[in-house]
Amino acid sequence: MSAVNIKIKKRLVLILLFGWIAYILLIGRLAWIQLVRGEELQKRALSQWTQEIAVEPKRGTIFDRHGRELAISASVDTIVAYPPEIKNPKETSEKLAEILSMDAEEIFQKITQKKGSVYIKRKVEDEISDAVRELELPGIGFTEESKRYYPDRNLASHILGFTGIDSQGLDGIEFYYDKYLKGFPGYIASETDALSRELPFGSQHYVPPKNGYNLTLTIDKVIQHIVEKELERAMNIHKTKKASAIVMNPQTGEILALVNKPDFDPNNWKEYSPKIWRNFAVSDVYEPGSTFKIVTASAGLEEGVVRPEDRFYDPGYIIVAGERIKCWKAGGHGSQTFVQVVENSCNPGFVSVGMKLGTQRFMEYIKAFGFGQTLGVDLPGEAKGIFNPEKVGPVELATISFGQGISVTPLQLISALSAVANGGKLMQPHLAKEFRDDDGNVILEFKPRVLRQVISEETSNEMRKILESVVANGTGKWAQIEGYRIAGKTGTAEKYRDGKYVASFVGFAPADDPQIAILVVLDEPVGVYYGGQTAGVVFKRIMYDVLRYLGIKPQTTENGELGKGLVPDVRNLYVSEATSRLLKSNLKFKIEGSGQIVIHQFPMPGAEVSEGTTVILTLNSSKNGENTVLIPDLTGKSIREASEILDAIGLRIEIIGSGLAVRQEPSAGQKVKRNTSIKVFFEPPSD
Amino acid sequence: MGMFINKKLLKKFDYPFLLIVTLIVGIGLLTISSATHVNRPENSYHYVKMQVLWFVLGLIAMMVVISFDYRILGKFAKVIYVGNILMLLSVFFIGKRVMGAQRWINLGALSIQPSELAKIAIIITLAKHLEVKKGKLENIKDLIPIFIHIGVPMLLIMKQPDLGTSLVFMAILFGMLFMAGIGYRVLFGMMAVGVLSIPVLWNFLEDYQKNRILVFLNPNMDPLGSGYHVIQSMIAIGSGRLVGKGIFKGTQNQLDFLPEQHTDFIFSVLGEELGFVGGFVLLFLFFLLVMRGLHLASQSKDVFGMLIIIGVISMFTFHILVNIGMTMGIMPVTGLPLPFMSYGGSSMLTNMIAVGLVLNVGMRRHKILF
Repeated sequence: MSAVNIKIKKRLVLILLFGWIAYILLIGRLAWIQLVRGEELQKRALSQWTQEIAVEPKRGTIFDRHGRELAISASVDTIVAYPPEIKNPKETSEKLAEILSMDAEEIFQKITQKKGSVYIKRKVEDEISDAVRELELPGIGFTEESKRYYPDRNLASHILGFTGIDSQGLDGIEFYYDKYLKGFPGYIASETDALSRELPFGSQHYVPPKNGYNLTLTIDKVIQHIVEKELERAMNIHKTKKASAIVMNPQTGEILALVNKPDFDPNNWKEYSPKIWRNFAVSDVYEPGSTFKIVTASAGLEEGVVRPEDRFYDPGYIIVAGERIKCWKAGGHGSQTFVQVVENSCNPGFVSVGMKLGTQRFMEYIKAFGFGQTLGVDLPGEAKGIFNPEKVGPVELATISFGQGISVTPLQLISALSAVANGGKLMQPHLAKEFRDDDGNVILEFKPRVLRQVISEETSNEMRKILESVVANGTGKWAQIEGYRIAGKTGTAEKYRDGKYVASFVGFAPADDPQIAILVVLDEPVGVYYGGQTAGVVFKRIMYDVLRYLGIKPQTTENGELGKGLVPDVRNLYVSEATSRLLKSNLKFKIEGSGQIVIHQFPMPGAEVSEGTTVILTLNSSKNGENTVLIPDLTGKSIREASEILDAIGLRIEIIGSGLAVRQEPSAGQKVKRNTSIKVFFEPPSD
Repeated sequence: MGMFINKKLLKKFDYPFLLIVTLIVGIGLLTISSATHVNRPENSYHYVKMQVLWFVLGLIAMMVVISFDYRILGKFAKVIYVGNILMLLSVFFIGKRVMGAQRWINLGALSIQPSELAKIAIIITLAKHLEVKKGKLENIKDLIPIFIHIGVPMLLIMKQPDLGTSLVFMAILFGMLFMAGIGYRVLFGMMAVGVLSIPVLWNFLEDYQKNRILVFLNPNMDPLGSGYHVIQSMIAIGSGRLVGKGIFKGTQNQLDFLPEQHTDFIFSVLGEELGFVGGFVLLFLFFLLVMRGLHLASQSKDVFGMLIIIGVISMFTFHILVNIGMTMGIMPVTGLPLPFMSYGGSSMLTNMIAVGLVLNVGMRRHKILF
């Protein structure tokens, strides 16, 4: 018996041991779940009863630099179903399907799920949610969500980007500054249980959402609009594949406008190909061609390897490491100064500057100007460009000197140009000006940021003069604007595919005090492809409108040949208009006779005079009260303008056709009696 | 009481054992009251009152059980066995179906689960059977009558179907065989056969049972279906952390994210609202209960008494391990209630009768047996 007892005792001890192990195991597991994983599981618990009833914050508005709206958020209804409360799912789904233009089967599946609440359709227009509200279906409710609207549709689409269904930024500024724009969601706590039934809706505590901050951009909506209009026009004329332009304040690095064509409507971004969302001006590279010579010239001047008056001889080619590199002009430019080399965009001239600099020095300048690296613009997807200083041999050095064998982004080029223009400081390009909260308090301010001093004030000064003379006397003449001092450089780069070109023009104005820098890039223009004739003209048209819009007054150059006191044409204008134009041109005036319209002026339009010269204006009725009048030139006037002019000087008009005046009978300059009838022929403008 | 029990016997009544049970029932009542949301105006104390009623009935049953010498039960073993089989069979003729299983029979106003009482019957009859064997459990031939003994009621219960309770039978059998002195060779042989027969047994399982086991192995397989219970339970327990969210303040319980929170998942409510501290206290009480039981077993007068206590303790231990393990994701979902905690009459009654058996054996112990 005792043997059995010992056996039982042993086994009892084993069972006891088992009890201990089991107990320790359970305690251990409990500690693991509650103490180790407690925090994580607590979050999961919390999210279970707050997640479905999160209250979306209002996304911050995006303004242009003058407070004009570019992107706004409005409250819209989202239709929600509370499946446990739905009495007749079949009928409910059929009724909803009709109004929401959805599949009834799809709705039926949604509202019969084993869930407390489920979205049926998100962010519907007001008419639709009102129609649903009228049905008074049990178990169908609404939550307010905010929907993003871009009131100007395609305008600035590549800058703004777009947002997804949860109002999350997906591209552009919306993506880059999502953190600030989106705000913090609020929630209605403990309002629903697992079946959303125990606690009645609309009670308990409400934690309001914190709205996103409002963003003011450096963009000027009017300039943006001007650029978009001009690029569209250029696309039509030159049938280009793509076109981009950037307008920048060269002193601050602020981007005033940035356009890529074709573009898209961010309200319906899903309907466009992702290729079109791509911000070419920031994310893609191209060969800058001759526009890059600005960098070569600046480096050469800064290092003192060349002076403006140094002479070069161009036989039409240059031999580098046994390779013959041709100038774009067959036969070459012959003997010329360095300024003329730039004016003529003479390749061999730049190659010799590049060679004098040497690979190492030249590459350092290229890097210092911001090429081959990102500049930190506040947009997603900024490209670095293709530039590898380690792989530059003598031939590459030569081609890079005139802008081939290097790829840059439009943003890099305009930033480098701005540095050349503003006294040598490379500014960080940027789009955001400031963030404010709903009460108008400034949360975050973006000040102009100097990345580094690349060239000296003196070199910059020299470059401004040289680039001005490129427009005044050289390849950049297409960009001339009467009365303004424009500086710039053309670029025409051949793509590796034959016969395809990238035409570009980069420049700034006024040349002595740069306020506006513009880069225009036309990808694969058909027909004429020279940068000056294509991109240069677009540049000029944009620059002209922008200067006028910004109220930058025309000026005459001090010593330039262009517009040296050119007398404007003020004939056929009202006196007030004529005098103000003369004043703008820094001219004085003297009036002869009485009346309202200027019929004659001296000196004649286009005459070269020095500032302060007096222009004599003869009005329609002269002192002696003669009964004859001089017939004015009406070409280019509209019907209304022509009628007013003739009426003011006592002549009659006979209108033939419509549009603008193209010719007249009798012709201008003849003297006729008062009350004579003048035949004016009008034709619709061809452009 | 004096009528049945003399003072000498009362002196040996094991108060600590009953005290532990009462404490656990007390914690159970508090937890049930939270699980059934008595804090809300629209809810009544119905469940709490019913549970108190069943506990009182259980105490009465316990007293009845301790009023006579347990050895009398040994004499009636055959009667008990046959009666048990008949009762289990009756389920198929007069039983009612609840949630897809035919487990209940009506006795007047109350419905009881014969499979619950069958556990008690099997503990008593198996104890008698093994006592007669006197430790002769060295080969398969010795074991066959025992397998038949337990196999018949087990198959009837499996047929209801009630897999959980059938497994409790296995636990009871295992514990009692072990303490009855089964040879290790046979024991390990049995275990090997058991493991090898898993694939065969798998085919006998109902689809929902297979599913439960699969989901246990990977709860995220079906987070909104079968895995939902376990995931929700772990979230509730875990979110209670060290000291819990406070009684009536458990969000997962109060907002009904927890399933079956007054029955199978009562421990999750405790874990959420009273935290690790509460869970630790309850587990410690269960531990004391088992340890006290084993102490009483070691003091019993005879093998029959000892095996009865071992049977009861095996039953309790299995329920506790499987139920709490289930709420913490280390055991599959089987629907076994947590003794003295889960809401439910049959379970409470059975467990109190079992307590009565333990106390009965304890009261009639020798000073030193071994």
